[in-house]
Amino acid sequence: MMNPEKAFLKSFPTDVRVARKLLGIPKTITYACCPACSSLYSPKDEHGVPTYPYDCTSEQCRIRGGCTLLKLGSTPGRKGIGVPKRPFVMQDFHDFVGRLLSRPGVEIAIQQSGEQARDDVVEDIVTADGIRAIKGHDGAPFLSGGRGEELRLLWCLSIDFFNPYHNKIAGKVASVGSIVLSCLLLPPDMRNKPENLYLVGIIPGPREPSGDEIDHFLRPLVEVMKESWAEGSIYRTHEYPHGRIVRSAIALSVNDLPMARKIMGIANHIDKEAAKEKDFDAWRVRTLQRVQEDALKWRNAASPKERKRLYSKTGVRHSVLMELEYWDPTTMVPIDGMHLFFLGLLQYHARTLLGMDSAGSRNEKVSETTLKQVEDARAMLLHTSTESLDLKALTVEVLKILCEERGVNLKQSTRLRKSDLMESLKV
Amino acid sequence: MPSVTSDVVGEGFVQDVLQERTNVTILLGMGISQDDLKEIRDDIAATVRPRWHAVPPANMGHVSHGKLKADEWKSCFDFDIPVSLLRIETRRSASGKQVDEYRAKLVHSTFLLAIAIRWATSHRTSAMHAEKYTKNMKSYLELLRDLRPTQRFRPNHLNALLIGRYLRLYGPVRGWWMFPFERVIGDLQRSNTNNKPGK
Repeated sequence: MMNPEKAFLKSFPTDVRVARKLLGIPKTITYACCPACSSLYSPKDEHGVPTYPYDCTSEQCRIRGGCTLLKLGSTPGRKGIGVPKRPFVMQDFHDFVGRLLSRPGVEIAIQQSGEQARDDVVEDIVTADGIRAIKGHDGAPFLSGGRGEELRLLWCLSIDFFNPYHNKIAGKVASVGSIVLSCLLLPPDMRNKPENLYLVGIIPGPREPSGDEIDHFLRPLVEVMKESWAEGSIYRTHEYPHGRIVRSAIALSVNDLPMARKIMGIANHIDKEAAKEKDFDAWRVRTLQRVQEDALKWRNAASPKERKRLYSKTGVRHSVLMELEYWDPTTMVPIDGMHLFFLGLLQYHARTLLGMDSAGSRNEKVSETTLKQVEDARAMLLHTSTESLDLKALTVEVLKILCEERGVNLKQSTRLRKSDLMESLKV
Repeated sequence: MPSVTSDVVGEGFVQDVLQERTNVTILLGMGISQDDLKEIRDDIAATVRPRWHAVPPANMGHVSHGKLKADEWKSCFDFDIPVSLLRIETRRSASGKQVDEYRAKLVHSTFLLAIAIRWATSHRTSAMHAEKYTKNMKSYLELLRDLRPTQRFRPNHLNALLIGRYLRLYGPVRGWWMFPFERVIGDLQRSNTNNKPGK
């Protein structure tokens, strides 16, 4: 073998830890997460070894009689071995921003889009009004403040849950979540490249956490963001190798509908009286002030029971993002267009209104006699209730059509039985 | 739609009953038929489209194609379904068949929805875009209430009314929709977790 090759082989890492160091794997923090209540416990450094408490100390778990956080080891007394049962790994924010800004071109691109003026015809979110409304720590608009010396970053937060076992029929079902931030000030062609997206962490499964459990996973991020908005941090960047103050703010959060509600801390709450109003213009959007008041009341509630009562009454819960001073859940959580339009409205229109499902799955055309029967049944139903009408005398086909007309949701998976159809008609 | 202001007591009730009765007869020809669906499928198969346009499944409406992707739904209503429905309707009226009011409304609602979404997903937005979107979406929802009086609106329908506000605040919807984040999930799902590199 030649000499340089020998030298290369000698320097080739034989241990995965050395390889990680050489490749510069992003810095992460591993939290211990309670399997029952999702409370997070940060590691304590003991001579370079991360250690965690043994038991979850949350009120909920204390009432249940304790809950161990660590994997069981073979140590005497079967004490935990210091490895979390349910770890939550978070990528370090400063580490990510430092890497991002030290890549050539990124810093200049961010600077330029921050300086773009607002426009009546908006071609990209950086020139829109919404992200200009965010206030800085000094009261001036966040985006235009500290121009020149300081760099301002705006982030878009998205949490989405997915099944890690691929959505296979009869496959395992679990739900883990990804928390991702994208930097809004990057130009559109750079913004969503995988290397420019900040994957904060994966919310461990196996089930999707509830609204207040999500808060635990967001808290470390919110703490960093709070500090970064108020104080800023100094990074060595590509253009300023001696350091530059960088401040960050979460400008908006896009999520699918159930997740958006959890993020906002707002329940699926329909004011029944207001919903009866036929005129759409009469409907009102929640105001920030009222949401904040209700959220504060919820947080200051004395007992979990009281919280529950308040939540069902006002439909507002305190969410950890409200600790950010500039956070406005009534405007900063837009409804995701992809889910709303394409998977929501269009799907509903095609399947329910146009009736593609039933037209496609009905094997043969509806015969004349069935139509006649449907018509008769319909006329009878006009005068009598479903209770008194002898539904048994009708065929499955007729019942199915009647159900569809009344907008009764039929189960797609099972074969429809007469009794089921009759039940659903009666409801 | 019955007017809410009624001077005589009980008049509103009578109107409601009348409304109910006409609705029931309207519901006779509910949705599209098998023949219509076949025409839509034939049209999908016969359409030549640009490469960035996702192709809807050729057996549209059959259980076997499974769930449609967001992009497939988009291209369905960008082009295929409205155009096919209009073709079917014009052919029906040209052949001298009786004009079916319910079907006409169905086609009209499909167009209103397609137009509203077209305005909302524009690559550049202005106050006008938000206005046009809201106007079309409101007409769609009103027509929807007309077509299906017994059904309640889904949360999505109510939220659709808020999109105009967000178009004004944040500009084109592609700046704040979830497609890029869904892609991250795709990458995460594909990454292997068995601690064996490359397998």
